[in-house]
Amino acid sequence: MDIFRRFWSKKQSLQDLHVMAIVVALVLVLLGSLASYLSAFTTQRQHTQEYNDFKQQQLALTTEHINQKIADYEQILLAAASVSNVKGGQGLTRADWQTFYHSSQVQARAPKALAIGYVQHVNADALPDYIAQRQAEGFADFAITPSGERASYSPITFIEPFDVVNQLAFGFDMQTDPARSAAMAAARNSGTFALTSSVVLRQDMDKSNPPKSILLYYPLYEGPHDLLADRQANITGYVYMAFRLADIMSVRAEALQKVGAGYVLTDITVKPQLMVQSTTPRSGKTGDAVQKDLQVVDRRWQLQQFSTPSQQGWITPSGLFISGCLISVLLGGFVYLLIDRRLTYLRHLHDAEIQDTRNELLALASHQLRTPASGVKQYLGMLQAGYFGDLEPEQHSVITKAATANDRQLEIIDQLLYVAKADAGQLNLQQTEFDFAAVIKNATVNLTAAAKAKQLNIKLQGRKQLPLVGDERLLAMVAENLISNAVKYSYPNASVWIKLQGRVDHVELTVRDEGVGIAPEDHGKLFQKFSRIHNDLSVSEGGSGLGLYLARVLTEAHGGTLEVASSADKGALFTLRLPKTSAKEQNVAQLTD
Amino acid sequence: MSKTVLLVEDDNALNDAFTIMLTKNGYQVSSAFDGQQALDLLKTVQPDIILLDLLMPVLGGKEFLQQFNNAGHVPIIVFSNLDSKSEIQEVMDLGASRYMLKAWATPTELVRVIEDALAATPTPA
Repeated sequence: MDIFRRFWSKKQSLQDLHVMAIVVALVLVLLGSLASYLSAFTTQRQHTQEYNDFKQQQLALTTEHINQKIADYEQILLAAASVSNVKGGQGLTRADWQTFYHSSQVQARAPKALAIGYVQHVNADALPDYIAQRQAEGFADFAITPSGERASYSPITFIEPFDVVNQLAFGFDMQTDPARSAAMAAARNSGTFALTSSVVLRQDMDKSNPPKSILLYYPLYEGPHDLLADRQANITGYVYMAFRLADIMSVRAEALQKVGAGYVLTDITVKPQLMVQSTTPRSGKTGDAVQKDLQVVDRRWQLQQFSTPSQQGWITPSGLFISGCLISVLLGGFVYLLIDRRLTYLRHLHDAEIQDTRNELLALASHQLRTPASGVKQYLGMLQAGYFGDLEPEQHSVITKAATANDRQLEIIDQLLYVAKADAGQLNLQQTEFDFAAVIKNATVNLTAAAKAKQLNIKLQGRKQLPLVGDERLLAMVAENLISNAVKYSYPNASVWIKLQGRVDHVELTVRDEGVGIAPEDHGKLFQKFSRIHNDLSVSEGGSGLGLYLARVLTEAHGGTLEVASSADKGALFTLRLPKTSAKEQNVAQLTD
Repeated sequence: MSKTVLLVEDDNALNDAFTIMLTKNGYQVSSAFDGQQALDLLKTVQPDIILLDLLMPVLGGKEFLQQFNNAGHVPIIVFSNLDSKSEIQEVMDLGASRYMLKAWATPTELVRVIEDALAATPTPA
């Protein structure tokens, strides 16, 4: 839960920032996936909805087609009936029928109908006359089929178009077929249209796999025919149309196939009787089919529509979901990179800003401290110099202590200022050639009093003169720090060795003491800012913790090194190495060599 | 006759300390707390030497040097805690005779510098 606290407090570590970026990215991915899922789901539902609508639409079209066809045929048959009624009784001639057929444009209006015909109701006693009439028309070999004696006959008398196929039906006694007979009876009794169940036409009887067809009848009467008894008594014949079911359904079959669907048409008036179906193979899913019950004339049909699996292309709901998730992940990754980079950059800026502010604060504070400290130095200095009269020994002693403390103040303030400068990269080295030996001698002299107080023996060895190019003041600070430390951390009555040597390309200053020393595990901390290592003398001697840090920074600014060798209670050896010339000059020298 | 020192220093304690010190050493001291005050004082006072601090409000040391017409060639000792070589050079170019670091100077050192500067200047006829 720490991470939440850190999140709000703006004290996030860089790792926290990374985590935050990841979290945001993950949330994005999650939302994206959710959105993909929702859109896929909605699309799925929409697809299903559209699909259902489509199926219903197709079903309706098929239904309408059937109804329209039947209606058309009914119209034609009514026209045929009226022709017959106008002629009256059984006075209709072949010529009449042909005229009717052509002038009514039956062929054009019912292209899918196989035949339109006239059935004459012939009682047994009227049979000879009937046959004679046919023969008189030119059909010498005319006979009613099937042969046999029956109480009455209902032969197909006229049939158009009178082609080879339809001629097969000429003279066929429809009464001999139960389905036809039933339909005719229904038409006779109802006084209106009647439809057969599916039958095989005479025209198709010789075929190995004969197609199914249906016939639509309309009754013709002579005399009153309002009552059932009259209708039965006064029936003179029928007009009818025959059509192959496949033919009239062909348009719809094609259309349905185009959309990957098929149909099954079943007569369910009495018991289910398959009439016709499209050749489109049935899909596996039974739940996919839709059906409708139709009332067609006087029969009940059932239209079933099924479909092959639709091709939806790649915009399937699952495709949508997967691609959506992929895009979300890509987006999430991209956003993560973006945010992460931005946050890290801002953090670095912020950290840099903080660092800058810290440095400015440090510099400002140090300047502000320096002025009053200088003021104190002036006042104490005047006291010490006797400006306000001679001092009693005690007074002198106290003032000296105050002056020492004040000097320490100024020293630390100087160190702070240099540290601030170094951190801000504003350390400007003023390179001059000077005598490093003299600088070291000077530093030693400055510390004589402190050394004397501890009765230390300072041994200055090595070169008495050593020219060096660098910032004299800063290097003096370094030397002073090293020697001062040696003095500070020595036990009384000890020795301090300061040796200055010149090598080929660098100078070497070693400062050795036999004091408290520094344990190896503390060596790392030694040169760090504000770090003071606790030892026997650290509390009493005091210090800012900046001395060695600064010493190393200043050394390295000159291209040199500052190392320590020490163990606890075995004293310390500090080795300062500085290049004889500044780095810049060194490079120049290399170039000209 | 005692010499006059124009002391230009913004810090109260230091201004006071230097004034005491200079007075104790026999100098007449006119003190200003910024460059503008110093310029105003110079309308009526003719010092023998000017002690000039650099970092001051209103008008700083550098700006003072730029505006001060040192026709009388009065020695100007600039003291400050700035220790950049380029700034020292700049100040010298603007007419300062000497430069000294304020923080570490003891009264004795300061007096010696002043006396050296005065000695180097030919007294006006």
